[in-house]
Amino acid sequence: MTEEAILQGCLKNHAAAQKELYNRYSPKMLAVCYRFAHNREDAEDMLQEGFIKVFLQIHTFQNKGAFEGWIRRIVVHTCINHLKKNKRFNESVDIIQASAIQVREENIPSIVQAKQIVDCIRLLPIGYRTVLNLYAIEGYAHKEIADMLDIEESTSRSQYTRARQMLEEILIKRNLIPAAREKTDRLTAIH
Amino acid sequence: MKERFLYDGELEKQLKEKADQFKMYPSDKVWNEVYGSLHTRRRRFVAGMSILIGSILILAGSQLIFPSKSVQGKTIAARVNTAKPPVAGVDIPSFAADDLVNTASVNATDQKTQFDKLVLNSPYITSATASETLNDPSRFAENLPDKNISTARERSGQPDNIVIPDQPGTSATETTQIHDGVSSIQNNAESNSVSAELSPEKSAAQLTHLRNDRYSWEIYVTPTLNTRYLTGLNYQTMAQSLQSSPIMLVNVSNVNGFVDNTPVLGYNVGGNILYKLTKNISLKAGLEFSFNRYYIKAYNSNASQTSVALNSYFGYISDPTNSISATGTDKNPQQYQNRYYQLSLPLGVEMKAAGNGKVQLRLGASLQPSYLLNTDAYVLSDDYKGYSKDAQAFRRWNLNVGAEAYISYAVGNIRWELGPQVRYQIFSTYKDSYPLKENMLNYGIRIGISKTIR
Repeated sequence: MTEEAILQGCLKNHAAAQKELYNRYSPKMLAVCYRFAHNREDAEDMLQEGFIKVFLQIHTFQNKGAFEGWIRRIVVHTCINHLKKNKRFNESVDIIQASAIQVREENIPSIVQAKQIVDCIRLLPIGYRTVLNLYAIEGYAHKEIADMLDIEESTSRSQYTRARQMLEEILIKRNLIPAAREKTDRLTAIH
Repeated sequence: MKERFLYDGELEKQLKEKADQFKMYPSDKVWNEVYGSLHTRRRRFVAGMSILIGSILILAGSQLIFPSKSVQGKTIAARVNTAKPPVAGVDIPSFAADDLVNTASVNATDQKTQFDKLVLNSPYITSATASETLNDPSRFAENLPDKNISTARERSGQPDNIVIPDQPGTSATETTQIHDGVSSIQNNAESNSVSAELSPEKSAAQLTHLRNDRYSWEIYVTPTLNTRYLTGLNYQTMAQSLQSSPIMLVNVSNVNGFVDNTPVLGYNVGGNILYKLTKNISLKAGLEFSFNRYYIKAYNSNASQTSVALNSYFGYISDPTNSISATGTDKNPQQYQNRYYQLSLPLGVEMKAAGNGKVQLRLGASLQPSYLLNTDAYVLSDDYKGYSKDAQAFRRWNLNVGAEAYISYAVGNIRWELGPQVRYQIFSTYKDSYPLKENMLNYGIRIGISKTIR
């Protein structure tokens, strides 16, 4: 079934088209939710809420840009709203103070499996993890992240810097990237 | 959204790449919840029907386990009356009872006329009480002057069956007239073979009941065998390609010859409320849940594209993972079941064809608007070569006709029913856009109970 046919079917509230869309995108979207969530159960709750929004708002999709990207944005926003209801999350993103930390650039060997990377990301504290997910993987700017999370833009930057640093340490510990080289190597400021 | 397409470093690029490769498969619960939220109308329909069925069953159950107080009262009154010897002074109320009992075979207008006449002519009932009684017949018993009658008998020393009212305004002529009336109605009672030993309380209660006796309920279950009739395209040209199949009885003029449908046991369960239109004819309406299934024989296939020519908004539908082949050279074809879950609203008529109060032969027929709740069924492809699962191919709303004949046997307040039932689905199981038509036929033995609502 083509994407256009799925879209038309969903607009007519046809269950078969809705199921097709769900089958096609739910595995990717659950992985997105899983990166934000505390556990799989929370991730499934987020996914469920996200897809309900997708189907209810599908008439607002204007064929500008990728359909998957549109779905993904709804799912990500759903995840953020879900997290914002959690008190621990709000405290977590506020306590980190902004500071300019420079970190190294490293390449992740291609042999590393996707699941290992996701597992490493999920080891980060919830505040770090959220900002890293939004900035590095979902491609949001710090200004947008700040608006989404109701924090200062500078807080978002510092959170990301710390998150990136912590993730690197985890990746090194797990031998997913080479051990630390000279401190003088290619230091890069993250913006 | 202003997306940041350019990444600052290689790490971000690779993180994104790896994270995007990761996939997880959600549990079935998630889709069920999503589907439930999106299709609330269907959920409401199912919930509404469930409540309705539940209510009928509760009503039926409560009537069986806890009969209504009026029925209990009536039974007690009857027992008390049987235990006591007949009292002479209640002659007039006694004929009133006869009169009322006989009205089971007399129409309601006659009954009312006789009752009114009785009350108005009675010397024991003043004009005020007569008026009350006319407005509310159930108060007839309250207005009976038992005490006066007893006193009159004691004073006069008259033998039984002779009534001398202790009221100054009543003449001997009037009393005679009353006795004449009593005699004529008593004779009428005897000719109708109705017992004359009913209490006045019962008479009044029964008059009230007569109005409610028109309604009754029934619940039933019918183990059924289900089969189907296929009609559609005439594939004479396909005969050659299908001849090799061991499960095909090649019959080029009839699609039923290409497939093997073995009936399997299913069931219908439901309940009706009946309204007695005349003495022998009743109207009925209710709810029925049907579980129908039949076997099909087919071979497992390796995801061959089954051609299901369903002209929906997305053209051909085929789910290769759910398709099986109707043809093949395998000597051991597999048996698959097609299952249908349907909720119907039977609206019909029922009549007593023969019998008396104890044993009756009853005939019934109904039209049943039906809603397909769920399916677990394969659709035969339009080239008759394969089956495919496709929920979109099925028609949700349909119409069934049902007919039954059964023996109804009264045991106490309950009537047991047993007899054959047949049900035919008028419209095709599949949507009109699908070239094949499938009409299902169910037949079985209906077992039920019914009871008059009082």
